[in-house]
Amino acid sequence: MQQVIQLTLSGIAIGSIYACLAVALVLIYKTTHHVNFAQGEMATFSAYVALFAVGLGLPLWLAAVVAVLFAFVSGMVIERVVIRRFHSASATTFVVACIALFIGINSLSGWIFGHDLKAFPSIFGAGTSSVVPFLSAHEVGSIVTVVVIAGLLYLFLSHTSLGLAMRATADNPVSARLSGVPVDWLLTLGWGIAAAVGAVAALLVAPIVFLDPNMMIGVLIYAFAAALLGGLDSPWGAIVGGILIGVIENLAGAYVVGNDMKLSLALLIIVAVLMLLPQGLLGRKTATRV
Amino acid sequence: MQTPNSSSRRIGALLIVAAIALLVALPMLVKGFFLFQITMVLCMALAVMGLNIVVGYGGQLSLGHGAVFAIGAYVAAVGMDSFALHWLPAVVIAGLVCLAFGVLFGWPSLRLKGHHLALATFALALAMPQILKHRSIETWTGGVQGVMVFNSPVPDWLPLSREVFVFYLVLAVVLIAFFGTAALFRSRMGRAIIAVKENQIAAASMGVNVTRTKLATFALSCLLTGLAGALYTLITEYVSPDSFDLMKSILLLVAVMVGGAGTILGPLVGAVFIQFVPNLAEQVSQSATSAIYAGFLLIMVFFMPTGVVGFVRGLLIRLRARR
Amino acid sequence: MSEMLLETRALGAGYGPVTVLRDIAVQIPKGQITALIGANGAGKTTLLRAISGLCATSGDILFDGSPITRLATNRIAARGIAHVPDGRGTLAGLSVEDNLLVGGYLQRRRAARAAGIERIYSHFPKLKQRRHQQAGTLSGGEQQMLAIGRALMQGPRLLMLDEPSFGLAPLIVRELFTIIADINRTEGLSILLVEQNVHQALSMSQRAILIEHGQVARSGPSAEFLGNDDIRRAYLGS
Ligand SMILES: Nc1ncnc2c1ncn2[C@@H]1O[C@H](COP(=O)(O)OP(=O)(O)O)[C@@H](O)[C@H]1O
Ligand SMILES: [Mg+2]
Repeated sequence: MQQVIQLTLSGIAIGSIYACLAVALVLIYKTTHHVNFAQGEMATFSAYVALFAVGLGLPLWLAAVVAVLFAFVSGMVIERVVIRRFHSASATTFVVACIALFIGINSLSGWIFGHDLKAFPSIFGAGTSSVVPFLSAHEVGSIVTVVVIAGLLYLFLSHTSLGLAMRATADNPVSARLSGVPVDWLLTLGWGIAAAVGAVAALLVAPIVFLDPNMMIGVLIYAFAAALLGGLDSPWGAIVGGILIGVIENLAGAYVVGNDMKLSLALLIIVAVLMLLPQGLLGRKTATRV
Repeated sequence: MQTPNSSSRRIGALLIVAAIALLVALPMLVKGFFLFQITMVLCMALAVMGLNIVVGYGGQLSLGHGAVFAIGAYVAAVGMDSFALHWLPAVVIAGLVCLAFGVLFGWPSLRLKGHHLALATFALALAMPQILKHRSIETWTGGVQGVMVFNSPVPDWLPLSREVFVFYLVLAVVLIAFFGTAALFRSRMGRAIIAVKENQIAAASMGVNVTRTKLATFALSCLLTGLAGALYTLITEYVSPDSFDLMKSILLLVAVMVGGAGTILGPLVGAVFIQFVPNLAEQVSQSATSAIYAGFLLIMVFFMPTGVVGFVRGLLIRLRARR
Repeated sequence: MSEMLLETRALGAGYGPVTVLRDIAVQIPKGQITALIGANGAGKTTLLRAISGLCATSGDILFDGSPITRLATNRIAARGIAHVPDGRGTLAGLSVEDNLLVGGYLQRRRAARAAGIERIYSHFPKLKQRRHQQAGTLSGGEQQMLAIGRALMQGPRLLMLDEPSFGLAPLIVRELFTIIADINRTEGLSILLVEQNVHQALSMSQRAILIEHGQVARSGPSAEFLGNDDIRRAYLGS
């Protein structure tokens, strides 16, 4: 029983990380109805930027801030330079463009920072937590981080006029434009925010698995599963989905399929959700009367 | 769109005959590693043809055809190794298994819209190496070690070396697939596939069974890619789980896009591209190959959505119009 | 400053390779209701979209004397043109109040937005009752009122309405047009009204423009349209 509790708690912690990346995916899906397959690779690159900043002598927390800011700006640049032309393209074309970014950024990471595994310190320190039993400081920190991100996101979306404009853009871009909302700029901003949230996920993953160019590929697939489970257009669903997936992964890994089949488990969850629950848990089913 | 007139069609036919003649004569002209590479190009062309059917003609995205290739390769390898099958039934069974897989995986997935299918197939591509390594099938698949295949496919009565025999075998399958798909897309079935791509609702209203057509497209595509996987086993005599990772699927997609999605010749061009770029690029850096793929993918989606073949065809049409 | 609020010169518009409007020269006077009429497919919606920068155009569009032809849609809105598109363009997943707040996006001051919302509620009391409801769940008439309310929140100088009565019950239509005429009268707001109900449109407007096959067939005082036999036969069915 104690083991189940322990696995559940650490599942919540790892699930928080999936939730972060899933939120990034959902933010983009909500505004553009496209899935950014390059989200994980963008995040990995940002984690390298943090490590690079540490190498320059910056304290870890400041390096993390630099990395998140870097992600924010580069996310906006990528949207402006590449993605912009594909917003209205078919899903196929868009995904091909994303795959180009995926392998491009992945090889760039390897090229600049090398292919070897790099140890990455946790912002929350290496010890066990004094607050929650069974969990390390890093795990508790991950959970707190996702709670903070959810809170900030809620404040932004529901209580600022920029957030309202973002929701309007997601809902009906033409009407938003006609109301004076600078939709193009908001799409750019959305990519920036998503990239920043994704970078946080990478900063949380790296201390657990070591940093290498392919670090986020497995996490990405879990984030896909989380986003689909929660409903691709619901940020709150992504968080719920992420945590559920983390717990399922831990329990199933220990008791059902074995830890060597975790990616296959993600495949199974993805196919099952697509089949049985295509809207996701919190996905939007708007009732529209005409 | 201009249709090629009869004289240019005759030139095209002549070119194809010449190319085939050259390929048939090739083992007399080149040997060793280069022949192996050409065999690999043809094998990859077959796999790319399969993916091209889904992406180029079906208008859907699969990021998991590397996994289908893997299934074909493993079924053939296990068939020949553990079950001591002759290569011919092994290859045929591999193709059929992939066809069945296409139906099984495609049946639920194809109701999904573009992104969802891409997601599901992406997950498939990532999971495949793990699945191949799994303990429960280790006796056949050899786990991380993979499978070595040590039987010679050359019949006793043929005075050919192994390499040359496999080359002709792959060439024959590729030619059949090439002319088969070309004929298919001129047939009723092919027109239905294209109609579904252009406009599902319109196609449905013209009496096309959209779901069945999509399923047939996906299954046929898996058949070709799976056969290519089986031939790959014959060529390399060895399969290992980690050679069928996500990159394999991405590679096939790169080939489709560079050659030209929805063109008959595109897969050949794309296969040449993915076979020879790594040779050149790896002299620069380990990362250069992927960087080049990324660059070419972007060039294709930005400027040449119909790939090299479509681009050249457009150029020819413009030249002819000027005259 | 001219009497004309909006003017197009040799305006052409279309979608990709398709040209829909050719050589359109129209003038929209200040403070009046101008009716834009024409058969289905004549190009009325396209003209509104061209003015709002939602489709490719050639030629010139002057708003209050300055060109807006090359501006982005949100900048055109910022100049003072509000456009209620056909099909109402409801932000279906947002609440009624959020819809109105989106309309007030250009209003930087929170107090101005709050005052604007109260003004809209005074025109459309039903919206106030449903302020927290998801807009997609409103009835057609309520959605149309919400769309007009959202447009009014912009504090526009020109309001363009694309078939506001489409698909609504006659009773609702009458209520809607009363409010539209009221807003024009009390606030002096200039309105460009596209309407299938030609009689209604002509009788509530001062001027009218008739578009046929993407070109202006006739324009002038609405009273002259009403008195013209050809128009009566073709568009009024009498
Ligand atoms: N998005 C579009 N793409 C191509 N043609 C269009 C599009 N929208 C409208 N059209 C064409 O433009 C013409 C005018 O349409 P529209 O402006 O909607 O007419 P109206 O509003 O007067 O009924 C029609 O022939 C229509 O087919
Ligand atoms: Mg219209």
